[in-house]
Amino acid sequence: MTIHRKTKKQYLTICAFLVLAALFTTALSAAGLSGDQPRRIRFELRLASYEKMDGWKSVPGPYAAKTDIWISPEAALTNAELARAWPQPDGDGFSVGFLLTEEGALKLARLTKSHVGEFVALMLDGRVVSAPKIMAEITGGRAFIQGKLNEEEARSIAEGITVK
Amino acid sequence: MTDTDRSNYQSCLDGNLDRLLQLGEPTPRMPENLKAFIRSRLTEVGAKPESKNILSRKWAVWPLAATVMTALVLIVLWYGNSSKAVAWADVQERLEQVRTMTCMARIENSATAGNPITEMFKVYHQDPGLSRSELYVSDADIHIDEPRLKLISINRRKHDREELLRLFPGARRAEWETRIFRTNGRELHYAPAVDRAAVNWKLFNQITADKTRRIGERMINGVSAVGFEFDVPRQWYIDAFGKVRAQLWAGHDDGNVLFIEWNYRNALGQNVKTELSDIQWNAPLEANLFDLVVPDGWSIGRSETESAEYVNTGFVPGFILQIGPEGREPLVITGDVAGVVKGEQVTRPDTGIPSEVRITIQLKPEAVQRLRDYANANPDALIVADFNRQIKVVPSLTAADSSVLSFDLSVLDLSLAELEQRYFTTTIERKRP
Repeated sequence: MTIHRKTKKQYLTICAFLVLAALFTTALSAAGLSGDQPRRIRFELRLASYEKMDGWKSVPGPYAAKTDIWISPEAALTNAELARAWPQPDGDGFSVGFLLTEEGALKLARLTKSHVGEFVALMLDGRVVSAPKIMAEITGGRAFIQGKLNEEEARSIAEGITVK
Repeated sequence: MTDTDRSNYQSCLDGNLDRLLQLGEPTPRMPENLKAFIRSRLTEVGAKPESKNILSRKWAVWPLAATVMTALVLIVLWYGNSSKAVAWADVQERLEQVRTMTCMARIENSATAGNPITEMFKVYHQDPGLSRSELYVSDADIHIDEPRLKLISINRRKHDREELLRLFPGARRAEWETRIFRTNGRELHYAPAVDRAAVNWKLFNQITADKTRRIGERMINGVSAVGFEFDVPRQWYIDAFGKVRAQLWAGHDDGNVLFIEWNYRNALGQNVKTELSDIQWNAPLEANLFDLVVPDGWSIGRSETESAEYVNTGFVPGFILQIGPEGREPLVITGDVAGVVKGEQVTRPDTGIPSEVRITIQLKPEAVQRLRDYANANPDALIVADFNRQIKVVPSLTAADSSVLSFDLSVLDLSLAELEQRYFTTTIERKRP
């Protein structure tokens, strides 16, 4: 009988512990502090060229063709300049929209104003995902990473590039 | 002819005849009577040179005169015929009678390096304010009964409200945009954009005849057409970055518009060419073409755009605006602002997408000139606006009207209504419909 009572007590303790653990995990998750935080993705925007440039590094270009592209040694923008990012509906797919900080917006405006007609490489974790041509000065600090993504992919990138 | 001339002429003739006879005569002697005959004939001919010349000139003049007459007749006929052709006013009158329109729209966008991107649409319009465009997956789909569609856009426009539904069949996704137009003035001056989905033929009535130029005649689908060329007011286009040149071809006899083409450069520096062809006027259209219905099982993304037009509105006392090159004395200060003229806010409820908030101000002419002079002399200098010492933003100087500047103030995280309340001298009453 004593053994039985002990076992029952142990069961109750374990159950109570499990309930508390579940509550604690739920609370952490709700607060966004769980261990399932999105993986941080390194974001960079660099000047780029499809022609060889002295001092620039050659890396595989974007899209399926994988033509090499030369990227500037300095990153004009990094994760630090991203204020917010989100999955942005884009035609029949999604892209990643982002809004820059005040300083980031000024940097992007400076860069695009003085390099109209040139290319920029949008890079995620060191890989060029798109290399659009600068058609005009970009004011407002709002831009997109396009790449025929589905909503989940776009969300995952948006969350990853804004992890502090 | 004088006697001296006649004598000189005769001696010259004799000399030439003797030389001819010496050179050309194979036999030692030519009979004198033959020489005399030739001489007399030559003398006879030489005595009437004027009449011979006159005769030959006449023969030359007749064909020339005939040609000139024919040309004159043709010119008179052409002019008379042209004068009967439709005038711009006739075209406008015909457009006033239009209630429905269908056409094919071809848009060529010379985006970046490489081949231009071409898209083909079937377009439907119906008064008042209904339009629909269908974008084909490929050109091959144009001629088949059940074409594969990449995008269907349906637009229902009222005076101060517009509903735009975009359906993407491939992704089974819909985007539903509501646009609301507000003003604190007596009336809205908003003009819908003239694009593939919302061509508004009534807008062509704003083009006066003196702003058009006849560009000739040509055949379109077997119909003789008269062409007009004119510049489209840029405010019709949201993204035009320069002159918008249009050509409109109307039936020579009835003034029905047969073909429209316009070209412009957009804000991204891309050349955009739009052609409307196979235009059918006043053909009956199925009412359900314009139904705003999302098929079952599709996902829907909603957005709301609010456009506000302000009249007699400025910044509140104490507000500070400074615009100029980075790190240098401002070229424009608060006192140079003639007024706040426009505000726009795009929100996407139920998403994490931050609102876009943009305002447009109008500057006094002398301030515009200062900015323009500086920008021309220093094309690489970045012009920055210090908005009430709260945020530095780069104004957009490429608006259709050169006296206005617009700023994206999204980073402030304030709604348009909150911006009005804090910084503007007037606010717009917002009543939810």
